[in-house]
Amino acid sequence: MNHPTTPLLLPATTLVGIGSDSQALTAKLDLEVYAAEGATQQVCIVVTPPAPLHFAASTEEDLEDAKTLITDVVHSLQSAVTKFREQGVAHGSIAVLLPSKAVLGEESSVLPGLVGGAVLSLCRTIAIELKKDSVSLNTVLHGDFSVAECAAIASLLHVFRCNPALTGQEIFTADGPNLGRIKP
Amino acid sequence: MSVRTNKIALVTGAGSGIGAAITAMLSGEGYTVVLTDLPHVIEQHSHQTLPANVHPLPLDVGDRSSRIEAIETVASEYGRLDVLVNCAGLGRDARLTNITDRDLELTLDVNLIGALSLVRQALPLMESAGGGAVINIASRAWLGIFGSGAYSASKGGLIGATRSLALEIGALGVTANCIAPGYIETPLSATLPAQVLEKTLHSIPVGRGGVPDDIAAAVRYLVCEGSYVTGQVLTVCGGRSIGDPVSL
Repeated sequence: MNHPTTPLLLPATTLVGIGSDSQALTAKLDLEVYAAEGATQQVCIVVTPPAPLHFAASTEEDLEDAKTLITDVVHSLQSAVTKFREQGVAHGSIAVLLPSKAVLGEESSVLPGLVGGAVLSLCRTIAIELKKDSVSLNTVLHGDFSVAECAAIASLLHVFRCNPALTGQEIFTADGPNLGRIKP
Repeated sequence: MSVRTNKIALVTGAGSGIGAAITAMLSGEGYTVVLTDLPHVIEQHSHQTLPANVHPLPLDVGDRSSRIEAIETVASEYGRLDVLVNCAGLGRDARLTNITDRDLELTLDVNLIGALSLVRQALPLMESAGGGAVINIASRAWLGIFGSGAYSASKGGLIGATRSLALEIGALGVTANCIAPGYIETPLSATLPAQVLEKTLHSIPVGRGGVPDDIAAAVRYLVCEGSYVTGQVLTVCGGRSIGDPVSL
């Protein structure tokens, strides 16, 4: 992707992967153009929960690994807020990307559900807290990152960057998987 | 009217507050109740007169070996388990950047990992008993509450796991549900600052704070009448969760 030679009008986005290397998403979500220069004003945290596994077949170590993922998300949020404060960012944006399947629930997904539910509730609480810091936090419940979905997510990230009043929202981008279901 | 049964229930965090009310309710319903709590709490109970069908057992939910020992004791003493109520919990309030690793780990260990570890170990006993009920006591904090990141994450994790758990164990005849209490008058909630307590009580539509028996009544419904209810979150908060807790 060509980087513009003139100063960017749009703020920069940093992508953080939790649970797997998500840097390939940087290009798919068209984030590179925003990362060329300037202070980071958006942090996009991509959470990859554990793979589906029948709960009876899981171990104590699997539960501990799930706890580690949640802890890593907390650390990433702490790091993002600290960075915003250090850089004197007027309006920061945090976007957390979670698989919709982990949040809505499915069979053999107790561990993904554990992580998904924890991160979702964490985001709700932190969105409330960060209102005082002019930092927005929104959650995107995604599917398989198809080309069309990535375009939708990229648009959402742009909207989040530019609209600090839009906070604490949870948006499903994977063709309405939540329709007709009790939402978590 | 209570019905005498030969069914076995295990309640964690049963030494006081909500857990104690749930234990009393299940005992009254005829269950043999394994009352579990931290060893020093159980020690205090050893000096009290308990109903004949309530049996205290030390259990530190945050400790792996203690969890294994407790379930093994239930298996050897009773050979079955019909109801598991995960009520043990703790909270360490702090804003995001003030959450320490120690408090985060402790909160997740007890409220989330320990609870689910017990479920996983208990399921074979419930399956062999022909079915049962898992009740996880969450909190309305799962909807978000200022200054409680670690706590709300732990309770949200419990709810997220319970949704998928219900799908997985329904065919075994075991239901899995969460109850999300709002403000409940317990020794823990009595430590709230007076100003916060006043605002909290004022924000409850039914005009009163909840009591442990309100949660015990919800557990009773799910255990005694709710065999067709699974994967749900029953919010017992006096209507506060449909108001505006953000302004607190």
